[in-house]
Amino acid sequence: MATETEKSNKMTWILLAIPVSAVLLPTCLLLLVLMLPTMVAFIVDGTPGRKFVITVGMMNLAGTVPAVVDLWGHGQTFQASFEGMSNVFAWAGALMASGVGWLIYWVMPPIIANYQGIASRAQVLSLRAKQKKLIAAWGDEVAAVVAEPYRQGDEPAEEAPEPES
Amino acid sequence: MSGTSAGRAGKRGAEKGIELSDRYEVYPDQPLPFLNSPGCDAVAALDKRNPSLALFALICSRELAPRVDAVRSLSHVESSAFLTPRASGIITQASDQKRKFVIIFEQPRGERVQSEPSASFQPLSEDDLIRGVITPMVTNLRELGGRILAHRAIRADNIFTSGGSNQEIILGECVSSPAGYFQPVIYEPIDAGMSTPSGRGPGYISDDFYALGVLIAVLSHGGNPVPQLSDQEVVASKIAVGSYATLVGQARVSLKLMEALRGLLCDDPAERWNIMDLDLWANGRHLSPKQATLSAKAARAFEFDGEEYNTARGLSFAMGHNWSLAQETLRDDALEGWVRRSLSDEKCASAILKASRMSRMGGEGGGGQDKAVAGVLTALDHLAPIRYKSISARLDGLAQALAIDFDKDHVPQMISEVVRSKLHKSWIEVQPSMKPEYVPWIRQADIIESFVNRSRIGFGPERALYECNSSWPCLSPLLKNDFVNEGAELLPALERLAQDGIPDYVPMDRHIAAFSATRVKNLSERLFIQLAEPADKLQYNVSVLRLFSEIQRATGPEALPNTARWFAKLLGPITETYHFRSFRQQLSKGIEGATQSGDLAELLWLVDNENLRQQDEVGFAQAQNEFASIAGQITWHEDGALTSDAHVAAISQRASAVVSAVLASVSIAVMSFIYVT
Repeated sequence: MATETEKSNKMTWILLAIPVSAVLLPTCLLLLVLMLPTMVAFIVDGTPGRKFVITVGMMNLAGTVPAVVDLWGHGQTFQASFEGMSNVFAWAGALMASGVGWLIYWVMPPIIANYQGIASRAQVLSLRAKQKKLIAAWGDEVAAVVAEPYRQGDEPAEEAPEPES
Repeated sequence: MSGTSAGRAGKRGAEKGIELSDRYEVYPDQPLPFLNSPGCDAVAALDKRNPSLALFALICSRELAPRVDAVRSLSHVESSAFLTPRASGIITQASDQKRKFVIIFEQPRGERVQSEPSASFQPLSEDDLIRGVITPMVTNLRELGGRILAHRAIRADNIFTSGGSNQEIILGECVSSPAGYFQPVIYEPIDAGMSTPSGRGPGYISDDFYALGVLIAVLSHGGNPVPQLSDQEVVASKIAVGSYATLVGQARVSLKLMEALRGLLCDDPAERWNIMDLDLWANGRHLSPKQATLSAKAARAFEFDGEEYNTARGLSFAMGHNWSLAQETLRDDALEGWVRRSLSDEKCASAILKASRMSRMGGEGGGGQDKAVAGVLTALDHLAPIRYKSISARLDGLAQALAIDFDKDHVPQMISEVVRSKLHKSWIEVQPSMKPEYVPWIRQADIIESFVNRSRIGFGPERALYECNSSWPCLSPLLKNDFVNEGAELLPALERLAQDGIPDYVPMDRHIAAFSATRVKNLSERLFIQLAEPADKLQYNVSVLRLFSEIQRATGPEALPNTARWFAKLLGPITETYHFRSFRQQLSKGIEGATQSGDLAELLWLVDNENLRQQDEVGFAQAQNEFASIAGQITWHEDGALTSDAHVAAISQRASAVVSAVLASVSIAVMSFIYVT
């Protein structure tokens, strides 16, 4: 449930967007059409924070830049806008950029999973080394507090440094 | 006269002697058996300042300890008729490495008058007795009286001829063993003769006058006048007919000598001759001969153990020798009736009646029966010593009996029962009058009572022993090869013990604790309480070290490296009680340093450092918490918290958005740059 403040903020944005849309209407029409992949992503994205929409949308937006620049080069007329909509290169740029966004989104999980796995193992080794240092400084009894006591030599990660006196 | 002086001068010079007091040398390998004292061997000795002087040393035993206080007191006696101790101290015998107390005397020029107590010799004439024996003995007794010290070894086998033309005797030593312990019964007054040798006590000067009387009788007779009588029979005879009649009897004695003998052998110490009487007599004043004061005879005899007794004292003496039969005798009123009717002694009869009733109420085998018998024996003979089971000791001999017989079965227990039952007070109550000389002995008995009632280490009968026998050596089995009679000697003795190898046991027992509590001044009672309540073995060892460090502080010596090593070995495991390995290493190094310096206080500071212990405990608790926390983190990782699908998805989504945003921004920037240029 949106709060009163959030509703007020949205209303402010809509009120600001209306004059801007009116002034930049050809650009807005062109963007509306070329950002179609983002709209599809918006429809299918159920993740919190809509990270899929952001990923695809950012790339989709980057892909529309040549068409928008071309439109502005022709004076930002409706005709130029419609020409842009029917320009196959404009579509190709928008769709390909969106595709890169899609690709990033789908490739990222295995990369992250691998990275997290490696990071986790490194962290465990580091923690075990800390435990070994504690045992070296305080003796096996220090491990008696845990249910399955960790004993020196169980799984040595690396030689523990001498404790400071 | 007997004895030999062959080899008297010894063969000094051939071997190196053992040095004593920087001035004397003792030669334990050169025995002089003709100068032996009972329980002590005599060996040659040398005064380095005066090598021509013939000396001998008596090597004393630890169990029958010498009278060290008397040595000090008598060393200043200037008398040619007395064997004066010239020096004393402790030597280490090379043969067995035992440390012994020795006393050095000048060798008498003559022989022993009697070679042994049972030997016979040529009787002395009256003139020889008066000029050669009594006159020098008067001088000696005056010297002793001036020091309020009883000799307690005046006997024929302890006097020497002076040699040469001088016929005066020389009185032998009296300091190498406990007072009166080796004195034959005939030389002892009735009460001391009834006592066990250990219970005779230091005695009084009147005992010496009695012994002088017996000595005169023996010398005039040429030996023991009653050799046919056993010790018990001698005492029984003295009780029955008196000492004079027993020892002199019908022997032909001149009136002058008889006068002295009757006075000296008087069985009542109050009536016995003293130095003034003897002086007057020696100067020719004639005093009326004392008549023997005998016990009242009963109209009819009382039968006990198959014998008939006519006097209460005789019966008391017999009952004291048959304790179990004495207990049976109290089960009926026959004894009380005999005393009331035949002796007409109402007071004694009432005391017996009271004791008999107490005995019956106590039942079979109860301590009450023993107490009742002791009470009855005292009531029958108030002059007799305190008797309780196998104990028979004069009031002044209780403490000495405790010391001499400490290792004998049940003696400390029985003496404890005597003082707990207040038999010494009962004995005082039946005396006709309270004498001033009783006061220190009553106080001594009270001290015994106060300590035997506290059984913990540092107290008990051991403490009573050392409190009441001021120069008695420590009887600890650990010090069996040493002679330690002063507090300052305790730690050096333990240091020597550890010199040839560190023992495995703790250098502490009840004797050492009690000895140090008595002989080392200003030791806090808290030290002994801690000894008695150890939390564990290590804590006990720390308590012992604490006590010893206090003793070192009070008496020195400053460095005790062997003792420190001993404690370091005992307390080595204490480093293991610290968790932090670094502390353990520091502690081990510190202990090593303290061991080398021999400072027990430093060692104690290391092993009993509360601050370090607290740091270790706090640090260990923190380390445990940290360890548990790390273990939790490891478990979190190992449970796949970072690699779970949800986590990976969440991270991936965020990463995708960021990568996409960065890539898009870069693309836009590049394109903008291209279009602009």
